Amino acid sequence: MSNITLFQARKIITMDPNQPTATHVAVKDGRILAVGGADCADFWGGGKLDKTLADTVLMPGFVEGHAHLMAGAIWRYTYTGFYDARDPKGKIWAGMKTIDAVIASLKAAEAKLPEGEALCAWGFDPIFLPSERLNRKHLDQVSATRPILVLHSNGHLMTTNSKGLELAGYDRNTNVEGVARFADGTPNGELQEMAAMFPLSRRAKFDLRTIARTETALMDYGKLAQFVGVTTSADLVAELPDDDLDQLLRVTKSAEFPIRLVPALSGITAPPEEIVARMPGLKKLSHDKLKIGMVKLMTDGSIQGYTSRMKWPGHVNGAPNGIWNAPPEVMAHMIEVIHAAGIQVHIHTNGDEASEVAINGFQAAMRKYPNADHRHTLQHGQMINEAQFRRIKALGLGVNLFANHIWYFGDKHYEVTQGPDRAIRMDACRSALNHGVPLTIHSDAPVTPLNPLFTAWCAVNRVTPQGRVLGEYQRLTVSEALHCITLGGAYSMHMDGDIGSIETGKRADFAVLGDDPLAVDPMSLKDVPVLGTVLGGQVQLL
Amino acid sequence: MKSPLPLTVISGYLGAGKTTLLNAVLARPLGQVITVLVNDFGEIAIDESLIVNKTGDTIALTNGCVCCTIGGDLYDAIDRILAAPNRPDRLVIETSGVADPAKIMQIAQAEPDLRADRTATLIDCLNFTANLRDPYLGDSLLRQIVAADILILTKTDLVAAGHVDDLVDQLAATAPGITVHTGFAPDITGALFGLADRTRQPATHTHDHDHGTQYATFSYAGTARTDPETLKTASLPAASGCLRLKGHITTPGGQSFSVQRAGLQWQCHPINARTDSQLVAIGIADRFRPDHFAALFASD
Repeated sequence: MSNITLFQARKIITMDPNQPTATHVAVKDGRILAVGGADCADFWGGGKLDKTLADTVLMPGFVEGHAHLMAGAIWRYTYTGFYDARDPKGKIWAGMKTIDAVIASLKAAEAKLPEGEALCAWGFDPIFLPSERLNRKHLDQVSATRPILVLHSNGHLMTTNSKGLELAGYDRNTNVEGVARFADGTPNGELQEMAAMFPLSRRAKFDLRTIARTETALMDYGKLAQFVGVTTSADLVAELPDDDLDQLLRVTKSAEFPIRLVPALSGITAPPEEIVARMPGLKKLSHDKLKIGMVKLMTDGSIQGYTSRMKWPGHVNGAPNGIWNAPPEVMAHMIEVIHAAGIQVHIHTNGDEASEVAINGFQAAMRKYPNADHRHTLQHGQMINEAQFRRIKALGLGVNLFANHIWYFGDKHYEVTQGPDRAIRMDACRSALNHGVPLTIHSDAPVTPLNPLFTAWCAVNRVTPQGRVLGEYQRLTVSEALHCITLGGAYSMHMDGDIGSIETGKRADFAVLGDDPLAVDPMSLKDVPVLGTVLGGQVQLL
Repeated sequence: MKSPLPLTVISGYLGAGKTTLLNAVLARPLGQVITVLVNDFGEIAIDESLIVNKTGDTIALTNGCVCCTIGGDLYDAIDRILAAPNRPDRLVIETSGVADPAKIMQIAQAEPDLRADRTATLIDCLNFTANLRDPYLGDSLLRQIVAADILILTKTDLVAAGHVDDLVDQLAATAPGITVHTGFAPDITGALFGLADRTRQPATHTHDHDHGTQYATFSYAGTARTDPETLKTASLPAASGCLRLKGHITTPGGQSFSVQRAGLQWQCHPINARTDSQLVAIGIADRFRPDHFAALFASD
């Protein structure tokens, strides 16, 4: 008897169509034993009533289907974003609404740095600061002797100070694409794209490639996820080198690790035959809080970086088409080999031409190797059109759409990359549901912040910072959006039998909320407080 | 300070012969230590007798050269090579079949520890025309040609001779002034590893086909002065027939500018004051007006 806990809540939103709401949930051995009213555990001999969560609203733990461990690791650098943000230790950093506020934060961080180290910062977004553009003169106020690197949130731009330019060897004689200038010809401190950022990043040791491979980074990511109600998260591309596996197992198995992690093995770092050969061994490492078994492929780049592959008529500002990560026929071969081995593929496609090449690849592979319930998923799929959704449905594919883009980049897509008519159908959540295509939505953290309720808010309201409603006909209801961030995400990782709803037999993973997301004004959905999570029956309040 | 590591980029679509070329280069006595970055070892077929060591991502050869797989991130791979205590004499990157080599060469243009040497694009005569018509591929293949310093035609023995000539004409129209090689001649290493500045130097062309007269050039090095606006107008393609131009100029007032033209694109920015001007311009012979340029630099 004593090993049954009966949680009482103000309301339980179950996502189970047979019993949409409840007030009590009984938990035994980390799993849901019964759901219903105060008497739901009586059939099992009753349970020990726990009123810790009695004033809260419980939902199934949120599922983030596309984010990266880097979101935790990047906090080792100074935050300079516009919005309030919580670091992995739980400290809330106030958003910086002016360049002066950014400078003040950098000064504070600079004062604490040891001699000789560069000051590296991230999350800066000029879109939200309509004043003068950040340049080296601003950053020279922070330090004249220490290099300062401020990475913009889109990842494609960086602003540095005069010392940073000196370190990279950039001066007015430099003839390098991406080194922006003042009218007098001297570099203004803004470096555009990786090639121009590389000389500075490597000299200043601004490492964004290996920091996510540490024990701390794993734990920090788990903490960030827990803070926003996530109990299961994909790490949507992991190389899983043999050297790192012991650490991955040790951290994810520890009682303190607060989420279930689902890494997708990178399918582009080795030939597909090798990927397929590695998978059985990796799968065996899976345990309650780690599930290995999916592969990630990449077709194109990003829309805002002009590297996505677009069908005619291409970018509305005339920028040339983007760049394939691999030739379409090579991509088709990768898909075929991985599909034939019965392994699930998550494939990054941003532009509509990239989605088309992925769909073509799956179609060819499935003709050769029919395999129902493969759950291959187009990730981002931002420009998928109606005809493509019909093919996606016919092939049994799913989509994980990048709803956060509507807020963070929607105005730019409207004005510069796609034009109004295509921008309103970006991340077409309603179309996916209309066509009966399995749907989930994501943050791609750290590209945009990890927070499923915010992602749901984007899909429900589709508003932009400039006040547009970007695609009124593509908006979801709150219920549909909540399905996306629970069962939708679980389905996309073959986990919907185990998580994603509060029903008997599933894992006791809950998001603990301070208000009822179905009762608040949909424009306030993002403001519903997250008080913590329950993972396998263990309460983890903030 | 170490001298910058020269970078050669080898591009071309699948089947164009990039790996065959690398195998041929590595098998010859080179007199320099080369590190080659490749996407995977799938087709690298180096004579076993030349291999001293092979690990998951590296093959070391008896001549000191090393082949590495790029792995997840090209920048990471380059950083590892630049940070290593023993740098090679040269870096060669074999791109994926659809990469834009210009984007990769940009890394060397920005990074002081690298020097942009040459981009070689290989063209498979048998399949190139069909690949160019593929809507998913055509634009990527064109970019590889425009970005190249030299083009190497392969599989020429599999097509009619007339087809090769047609292809050469087509390529010349796409990338005026470019050097076209047919097959891997014994001196191909010299062509890949240029010693000169990366600027296309029309005077040094070694065409295998006799169409060198299709292009005309103007070059100048001296103390004559002009200003950027005058040069910009004088070099407009419609007026002068100029297709490409690169160099630096000094104005009568003593300011210096770096200038570049590629078709209608004009780039100009101030540099530290110098006392001279240097310029190379090229255009199609029957339309090019070197006199437009000569007039600007005649006052000296």
